[in-house]
Amino acid sequence: MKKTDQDIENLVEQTLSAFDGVDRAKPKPFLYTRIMARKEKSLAGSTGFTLPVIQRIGLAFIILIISFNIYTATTIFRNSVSNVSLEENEQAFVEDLYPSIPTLDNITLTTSNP
Amino acid sequence: MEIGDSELVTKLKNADEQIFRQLVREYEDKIFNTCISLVKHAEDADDLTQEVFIEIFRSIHKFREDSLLSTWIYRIAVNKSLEHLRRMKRKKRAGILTWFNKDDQDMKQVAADFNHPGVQVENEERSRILFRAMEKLPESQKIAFTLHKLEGLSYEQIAAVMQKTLSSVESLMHRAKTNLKKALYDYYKSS
Repeated sequence: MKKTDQDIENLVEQTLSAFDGVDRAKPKPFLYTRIMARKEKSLAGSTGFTLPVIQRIGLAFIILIISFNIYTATTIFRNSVSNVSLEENEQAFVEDLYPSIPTLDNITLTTSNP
Repeated sequence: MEIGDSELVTKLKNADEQIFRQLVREYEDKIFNTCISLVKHAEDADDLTQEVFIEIFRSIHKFREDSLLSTWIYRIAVNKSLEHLRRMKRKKRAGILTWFNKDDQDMKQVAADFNHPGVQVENEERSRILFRAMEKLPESQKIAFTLHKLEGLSYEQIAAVMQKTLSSVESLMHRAKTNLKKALYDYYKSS
């Protein structure tokens, strides 16, 4: 049987009043306890060091770059220090072996103080 | 013993846990009912209710008492529920990955089959149809209609919660009813 416009109007009105006499929905029991537990958990979470995965990867990459830079800088510094001490050792050896041979320092001294 | 809004707020600002417990007892049904009516999912509404109370506890010092405490609390509940719905929509729009996201499909199904736990048994089928029709309403009309019909707030209270004038709430309600009538008429005509 086909619905008349009047039938449809009635259904619409009935549907619009479907919320009449509705009661409030109630949450599950012990809401306060659950709120307090969640509050403490969020407080504990906020003091801990937690980052999303992408940020963690980014941080790890930055730490890696910094570590590599520190390693390179230290290696270069160590090499230059060892080169200087090697030169000093060579100079001392030459002076011990040939004390009469004028060194570059002596020549400079004699030319600057006639 | 009943205490006034002002005293309640002062005690909450002093982080009085006893008063907070009292506030939860007084508002838990109102908040849960508002959330479940808007998000149409009992578990999510329970989560949101907890979030609302944590938010109240955290930001009570920001409450300037230029509105009723209940208005401020309802506003937090509505905003949290809307944020949740937007988050869900964003997830849905997230792209190809959502093809594999079963939760999203489940959520859609849950929203279509939702029935408010407080609805009278004889009205269950009709309320399901009404909820489905409400999904098509613009956001502000849906909020006004929900707060009035399911939470029982007066137009004045809705105006305070939505920070609108009384006449704009009246207009929202009028348009909501007109749109619902049209949607329901089309539904019954085609079924």
